[in-house]
Amino acid sequence: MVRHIRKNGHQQKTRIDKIIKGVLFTVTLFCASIILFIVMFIFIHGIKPFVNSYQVGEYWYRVNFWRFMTGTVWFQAPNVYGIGFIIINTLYVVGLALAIAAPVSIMTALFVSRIAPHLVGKVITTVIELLAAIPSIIYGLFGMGIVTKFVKNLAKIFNYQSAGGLSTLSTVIVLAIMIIPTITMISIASIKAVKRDMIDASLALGASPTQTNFKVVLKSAQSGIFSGIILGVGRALGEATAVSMVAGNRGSGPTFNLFDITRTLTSTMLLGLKETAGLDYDIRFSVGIILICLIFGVNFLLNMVKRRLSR
Amino acid sequence: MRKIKDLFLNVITYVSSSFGCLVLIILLLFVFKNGIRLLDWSLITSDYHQKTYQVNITDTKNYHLGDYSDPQLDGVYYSSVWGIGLQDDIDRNNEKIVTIRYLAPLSPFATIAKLEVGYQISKMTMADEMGNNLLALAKNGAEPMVADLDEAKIITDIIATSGGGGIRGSLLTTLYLIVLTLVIALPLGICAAIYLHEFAKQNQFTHIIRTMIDITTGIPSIIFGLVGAIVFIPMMNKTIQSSGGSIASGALTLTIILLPTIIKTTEESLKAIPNSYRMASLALGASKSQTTFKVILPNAVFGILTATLLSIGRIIGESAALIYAVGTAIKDSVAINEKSTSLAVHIWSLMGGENPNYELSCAISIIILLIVGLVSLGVKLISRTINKTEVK
Repeated sequence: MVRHIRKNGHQQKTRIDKIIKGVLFTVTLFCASIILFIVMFIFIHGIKPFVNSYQVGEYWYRVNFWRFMTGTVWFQAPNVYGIGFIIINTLYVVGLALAIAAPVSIMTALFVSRIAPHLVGKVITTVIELLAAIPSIIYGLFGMGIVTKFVKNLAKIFNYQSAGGLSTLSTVIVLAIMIIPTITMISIASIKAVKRDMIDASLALGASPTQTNFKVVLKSAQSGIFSGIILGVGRALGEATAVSMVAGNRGSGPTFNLFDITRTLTSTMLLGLKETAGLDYDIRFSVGIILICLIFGVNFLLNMVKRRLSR
Repeated sequence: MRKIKDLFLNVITYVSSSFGCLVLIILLLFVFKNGIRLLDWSLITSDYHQKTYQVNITDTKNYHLGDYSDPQLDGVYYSSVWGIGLQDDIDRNNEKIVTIRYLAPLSPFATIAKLEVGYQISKMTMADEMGNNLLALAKNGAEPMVADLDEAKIITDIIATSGGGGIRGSLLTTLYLIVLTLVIALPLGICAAIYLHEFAKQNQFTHIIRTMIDITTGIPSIIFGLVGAIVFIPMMNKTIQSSGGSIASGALTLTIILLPTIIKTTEESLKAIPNSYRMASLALGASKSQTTFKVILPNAVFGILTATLLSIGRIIGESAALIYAVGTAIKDSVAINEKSTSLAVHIWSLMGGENPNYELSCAISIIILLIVGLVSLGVKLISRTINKTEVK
């Protein structure tokens, strides 16, 4: 009898265990499938402009995909949309931002973890953490209030009339400031993970501390630093609010002039959003598809480079 | 030669490190210099949209004039005839206004016109004993207005506005968003973390699930905004009868943004729990689920708290996703099934127009920065506490 009850209790316990496991599994599956839903929904909505016809005025139109991908003008009435130049401008802006942010971040990380006295290193780490925590809308405000003014004055020195400072250069500066904390924090972690033996060996061979830092420590930490750069690029490509506030909204392009207004994929999606239906709204989802593809593509490429570097 | 080269390289690292500090200092100076003037209690408690009142004081039987005592306030022009003290002021949109600073309890402005201290008078048309019309405008200042009032016997027209330019609605919306999002996201995230760490077998399938959650972290927030716009807005329109974006659709969008972070953070804290706890509990006869909910979860409370704080920080700073999923219309009355703006989107709306409003934006930024700073401080304190307990 006693055995029987125990067996029952045990069975009940395992049954509850099974139910709970099932519930938890369902929740996990839901969380994991979010990414699939995102891609699916945006894809379904984003191909509409190329498949369905939209009524503009009296006639029905659809958008030509080839012209959309290679276009040098964002919008021509009634149905020509082009984002070829926007893709180029986005990559240009992000590339320049990375060219500023990567050296600054790596040097800062080296300073914090190898050169600076303990206290100074701690202060700068805190500063970097604070910068990482500041929301992008405040960077946008800072960009509009300070960076564009600076760029405007700089343009004046070169005798160039900029659009109130809204420009490629402002966008690059704001983006660089925003990705510096990301790259720096990961670089610090990977530099701190460099083995003590390696450093000691280099010093014992007669290299100066600085030579060791630059030739041994950075070399050993390069894989981690590169991961930081990949994350930084991802963040820069997807950054919307701050970029929209300083980019201006160029109608055609591409432009490589630093003092000229520009347009990125994200600013295209965010600016001029008025209606919540129709072609002009749906085309933003097509831009979204391209943005996702671009981010995945760049990520994949950089990961390939990283693998080759570490080989 | 080597020394010079070393020195040069070192100097580069000094300069780079000071760049970050410089940016932070300039940013804080900019925000505080512009925003500090507006930062007071009334900013937080007052509405954004002004309410306009058009009233008159013409029924001479119901009031008497002339014997109100002067409260002697600094910088306030006082009309003892009408019992009203007016002051020159500049509003949150940088325009010259005349504000009511004092009202005698029996002043006709209080008893008949029902105006209150803090309201702004933009225009008054009055008539004196002879029946001559007097016109006082706010742009001429408080002093001539009071001089006219002293002459007047009746006031045929007063146009007054209540303060306006406050952020009560946006602050409330932000709180709604935080509470609603956490209520949905925390249970889901914690369940997923528990499954992944306590129940899942380490096989290919689990690996794929982990990778998918990782990839979600890399999706920019504006894409989540798009999803909110095409999935959650129609869903909410059907279920809670909202029209267009709403706080509910915003909270659902924020939920899917935050889930990966919550899962990651919670799982980290689960990893830190020694395996002996699980063994001990199981050996005492507790079932797997009893162990999980009664032994493991209470020990992961710091990790869950960290996840909560990080989520709050993210919600407060989020703008791009909410612009799509909720909208950019600033509201004073806040309801879950209606459009509204969080603090960050409030800034976006203020900066988007023809005349960007730097002062109010910076004042809101100070509030956001304060909250974000507190949140980071909280996260740091928690991690320090965990480290301490681990040493023991």
